[in-house]
Amino acid sequence: MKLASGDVVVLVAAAALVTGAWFAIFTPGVAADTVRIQNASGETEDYPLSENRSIRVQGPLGETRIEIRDRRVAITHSPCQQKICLRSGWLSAGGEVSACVPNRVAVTLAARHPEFDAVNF
Amino acid sequence: MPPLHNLQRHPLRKPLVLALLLGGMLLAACERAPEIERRQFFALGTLVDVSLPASEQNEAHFEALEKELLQLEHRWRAWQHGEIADLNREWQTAAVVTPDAALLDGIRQALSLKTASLGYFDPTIGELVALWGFEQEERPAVSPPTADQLQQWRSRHELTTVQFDGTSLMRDGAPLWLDFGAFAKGLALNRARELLLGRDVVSGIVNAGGDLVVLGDKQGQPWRIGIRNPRGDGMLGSLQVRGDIGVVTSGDYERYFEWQGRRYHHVLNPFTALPARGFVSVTVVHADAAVADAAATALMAAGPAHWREVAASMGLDKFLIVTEHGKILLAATLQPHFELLDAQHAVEVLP
Repeated sequence: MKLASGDVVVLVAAAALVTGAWFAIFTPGVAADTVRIQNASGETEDYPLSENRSIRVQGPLGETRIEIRDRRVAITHSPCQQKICLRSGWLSAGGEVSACVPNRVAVTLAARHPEFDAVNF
Repeated sequence: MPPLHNLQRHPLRKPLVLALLLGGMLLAACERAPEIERRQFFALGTLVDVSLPASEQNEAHFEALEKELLQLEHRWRAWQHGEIADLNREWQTAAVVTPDAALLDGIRQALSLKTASLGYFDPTIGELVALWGFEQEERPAVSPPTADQLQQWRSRHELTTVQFDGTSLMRDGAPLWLDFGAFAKGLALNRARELLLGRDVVSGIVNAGGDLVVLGDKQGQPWRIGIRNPRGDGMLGSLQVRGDIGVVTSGDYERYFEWQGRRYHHVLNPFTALPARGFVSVTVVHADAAVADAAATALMAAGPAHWREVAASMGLDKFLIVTEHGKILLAATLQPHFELLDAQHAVEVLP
């Protein structure tokens, strides 16, 4: 069967519609795209995960440093004694959280439909 | 054959229309994943991360939760300023103390979990926790306790018993210090779940520093919980859970200190008075988050030699253990809900 040019348009449009509808409805986990940082006052600021940068946040103990590198994020320096926050390592999955409790800084990897609804550790 | 876009006369018209109708019905039957609203605040000595399906009432729910969890933190804090801390100080000189009914109820539950766990979860080892310096949020860089200090503590601890008489708590033997570090968070998570259910919230997650309770499901789908790799970055695996259930992990990788090249973590074996050995982490899934909390610590403390007795005694059937060699011991009842994401780990499914 030979397809007319109009047929191609119909088929391409149908394929796009089905694919789009599938993603819109089944919403599989997608990669995280936003780093959300909360400071000691509870204020939040969002940064794109796609742009490498260093962020400094002031807390009651001093300065917490956060690095975004190669679509991952980590707390890399903390004024706290135990450095538990540094042990979380690099986060890359939507839904992951790292926090410095003594310095009251929280880092969350957000996605519209994160791979994980919560992370247990 | 006429072109497809000229459907009026096309022989495939009927099948195409049928296919579109069927596809439309299928898509309509699927529900869109709900928008989830998250709120984070510091309570219970950690970051609490609450996820609830979008609702105009969420702001009030978040506020109520934060208030409740901060109250519970003050209530169960065993050191510095807290109700248990005050009780502990009173108990250093008095042999009998009379906590309020709610506190007594929690203490009673914790002590019965001590019995059920064959002593591997022990809320009466506060003095040992302090000997190791783990009672402080910011542990100074000092040496671990000496073998003599630990032996002396063991001798005193073996001779001390705690009893109830309805409203009072009595100790027989040396003063002791209660520490609910491996129980109070689970208790608070239970309370958080009750509070939300009481406000007609039937779906959500309350995650307190990695230990969590889930409510219901995510609009018909199970919640997907990542289990962080205890060694290195990323996820070890994921659990699909639904229903009102707690998921608690105890591990050696977060709270520890290093002294002269050796690492000492905070999960203490009450019988050796030393940090537990053999397991890197233990995750327990249980309807009662306080039981899950105590059980995760008990299995971690019991280690490879005794964990089976403890699991049997506590009636645990949903747990996941990562050994120091990286092997995963997975309870058979948890297997259908578990997905391994880090293929470097071998999995042994336990009957």
